[in-house]
Amino acid sequence: MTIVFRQLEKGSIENMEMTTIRNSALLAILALGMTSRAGPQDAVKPESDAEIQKEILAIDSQRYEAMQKRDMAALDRLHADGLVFINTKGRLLNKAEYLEEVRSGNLKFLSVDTNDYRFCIYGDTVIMNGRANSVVEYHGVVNKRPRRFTSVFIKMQGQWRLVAHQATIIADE
Amino acid sequence: MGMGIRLNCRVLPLFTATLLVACSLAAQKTHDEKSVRQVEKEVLRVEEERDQALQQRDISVLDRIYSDQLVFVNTRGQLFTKAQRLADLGAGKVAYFSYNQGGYDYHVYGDTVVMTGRTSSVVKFQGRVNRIPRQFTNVYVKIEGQWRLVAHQATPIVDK
Repeated sequence: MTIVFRQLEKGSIENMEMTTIRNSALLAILALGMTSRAGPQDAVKPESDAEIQKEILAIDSQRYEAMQKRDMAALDRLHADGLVFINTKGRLLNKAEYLEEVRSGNLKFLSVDTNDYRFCIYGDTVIMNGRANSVVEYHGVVNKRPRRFTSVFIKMQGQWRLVAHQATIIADE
Repeated sequence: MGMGIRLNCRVLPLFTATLLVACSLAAQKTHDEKSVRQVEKEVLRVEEERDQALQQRDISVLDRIYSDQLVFVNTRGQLFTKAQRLADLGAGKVAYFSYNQGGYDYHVYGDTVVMTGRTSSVVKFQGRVNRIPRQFTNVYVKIEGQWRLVAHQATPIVDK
């Protein structure tokens, strides 16, 4: 198992995800009892830590772009079905609730600015921590306060998906 | 009659195969559900051990439970490493006056578990007492056979 702890200087974007979809071939394998559960140690092809970080940043970038464009198909693909999303008000949203906030326009990203990334890589699980200065409008209230976030990505059937995200206002700034 | 026999000869193998697949899938699903419940129990046990250790400031237990690369974000949005967190606890800079948390929910992804919950514990940190209810996420990863906390973040619940 590869474990990495890194900090990146600057960047932009955030996070999202998707979950378990089994195709018929996989079901057949399951039926024969020949499969193993996907997990952090099941990496098929070893990737370097730098490659993984790059992939995660790209996925996160796609997620923000999709949110700004309200591209629901992309958001559905990028978020795990089991998503847990905790916003800066401490409200816990599941995937359906979160996507509905975006679709309805209750949640709008007026600008995206994230940085100060740290990555911890545990096989096919990546913990991404960072700082956000994005300007967000939520139910008509604009939030410009800086926040610290943690996003968890898991690779499922070859695709990184956001399984958890939590943001907390940085109180002392 | 003859046609019926011919049909049965064709359909029976397909029916049998379908039945076998259905039974295997059902058995696999039951096995998966049992595995998930077992994982949830294991993680809850570690979480309860962590809770006790926090209240008793048992640094050796926390050292074992926390991943070396722990990412810890408190309710003020401050980021701490494992070393910083353990040092604060060891020095008494973090003190729990009461401990109350629950409402757990789990999402199991193989050897990774995302656990959410609520806490209303009263805790003093850097001279401030925090009584505000908060929502948290704990991420556990099984590393060398042991569930370890790799990330924690808490956010004050400011509205209902």
